[in-house]
Amino acid sequence: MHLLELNQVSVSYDAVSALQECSIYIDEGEMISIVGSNGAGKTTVCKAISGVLDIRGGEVSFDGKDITKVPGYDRVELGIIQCPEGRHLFPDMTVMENLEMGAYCKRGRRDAGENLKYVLGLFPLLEERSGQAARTLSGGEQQMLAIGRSLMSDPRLLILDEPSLGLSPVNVQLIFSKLGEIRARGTTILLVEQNVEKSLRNSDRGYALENGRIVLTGTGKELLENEDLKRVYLGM
Amino acid sequence: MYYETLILGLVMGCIYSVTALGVNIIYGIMQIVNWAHGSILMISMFIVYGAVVLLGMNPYLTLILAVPIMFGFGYAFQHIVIRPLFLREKADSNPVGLLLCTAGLGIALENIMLMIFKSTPRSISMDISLTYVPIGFGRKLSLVKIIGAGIAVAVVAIVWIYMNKTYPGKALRATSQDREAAQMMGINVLQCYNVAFGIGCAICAVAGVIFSTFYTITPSVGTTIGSKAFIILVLGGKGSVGGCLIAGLIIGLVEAFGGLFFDSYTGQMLCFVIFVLMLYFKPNGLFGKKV
Repeated sequence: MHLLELNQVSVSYDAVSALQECSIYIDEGEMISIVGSNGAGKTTVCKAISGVLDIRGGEVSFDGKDITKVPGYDRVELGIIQCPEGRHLFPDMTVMENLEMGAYCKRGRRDAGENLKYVLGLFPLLEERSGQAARTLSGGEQQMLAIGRSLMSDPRLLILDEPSLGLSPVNVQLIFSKLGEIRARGTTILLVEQNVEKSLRNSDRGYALENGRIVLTGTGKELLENEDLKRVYLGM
Repeated sequence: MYYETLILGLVMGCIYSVTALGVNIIYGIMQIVNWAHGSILMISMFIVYGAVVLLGMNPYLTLILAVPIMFGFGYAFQHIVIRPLFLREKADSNPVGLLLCTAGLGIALENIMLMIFKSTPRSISMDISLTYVPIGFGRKLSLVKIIGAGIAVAVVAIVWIYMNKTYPGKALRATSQDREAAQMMGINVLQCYNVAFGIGCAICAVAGVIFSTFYTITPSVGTTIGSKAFIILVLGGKGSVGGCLIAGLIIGLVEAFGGLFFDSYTGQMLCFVIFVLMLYFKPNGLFGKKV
């Protein structure tokens, strides 16, 4: 039984189709990458899983249960959390308040103290900045906070949408090393990244999306060696 | 004389602030201007009047009746009427349906009350209605207004504590700052909107209780007081609680000093002059964010 399964999922924005019969699975403890060009439908996949978007067809199941009709806020209780592209922090709230909002769900509040200790251990800088408004943080710090906020809900599946977008190489390196630590703790990760090589190198498996369809799938290594993918995304 | 006017202006300013706070919270969290605000305030005043006349309750004690009733009304109205419109219009950058909806509610409430109670003015008399207390320098001020200002300040403090120190309050703030992110964190955004509308109406009920102790109660009373709430909303900045307080005090002072130097009608007019100037020169208000 897979932890998460998308079966023939289709999503459309009004009349425009964004995702067509997309099937993806993720097993517990895995790290999966979804790669694709702009507008391929990567973020739509994330939102379909987190429940922010309603799907038009197909089904989403988590831990063997059909969650297609489960609203997004209840999916967080199941352990699915999305760290959105562009961080989407609560700008006028402090770092600590942002972390508290990450633990808003009952699941997060159960061991809020432990979760906070874990997040602050992972990103010690957040403790130093705890009283600062989120909007005053640098890009790298904001990304740390966004990931930390997501981890406060004690997720089983962490969906990261473009976590390295707009970050300096040093911060990209830092974020990827932290992803390794998060994964080592047993959290399953779904990574959507523009940094194709880095994300596939760190992932167990990957999917390539094009115009809302899965066009390629395989292990991270297989995808990196794929000639088409190399040509399109890596310019080789 | 100036001292007495200053104190009266500040006292009335506190009361106006709490009147505008309800509409401000609804706008701050939902970005919806509740045009029915004045009518909801009027309904609260009638609840107070009914409780005093029929049940013999102390007007201040009617808070325990008016606040939950208006919270429930706001919650239900948002859930049943506004929510479907909101879901339909959320992709629209300039939704007018919601504005018309709340404006329609206001007109409907006012006319229903007019039909039932006619335009006969009603008022509540208490033992302390004509009591004036010394405020220093040999001057005196109406006790009910001072109590009203005290209740207003207490309500603002309670709302501030709720919004900044409790989980549900912080969830409301989070929803106002980024609706999608709030949803991703497991916050039931639509329920937050129900609560926000309920709180807005409950605060309006408090203002209704305060006003009913010294103001004439008629079905059209909401138009007069409600219009001041909108002036304060624009002056302070839509969605700014601090701005709402300061703008309330400014309007209270302008009205009081306008009345002193000219007459009470000119005082009222000056408030509207400020409103127009504000819209012209600083449409986001003193403390509001760019919309």
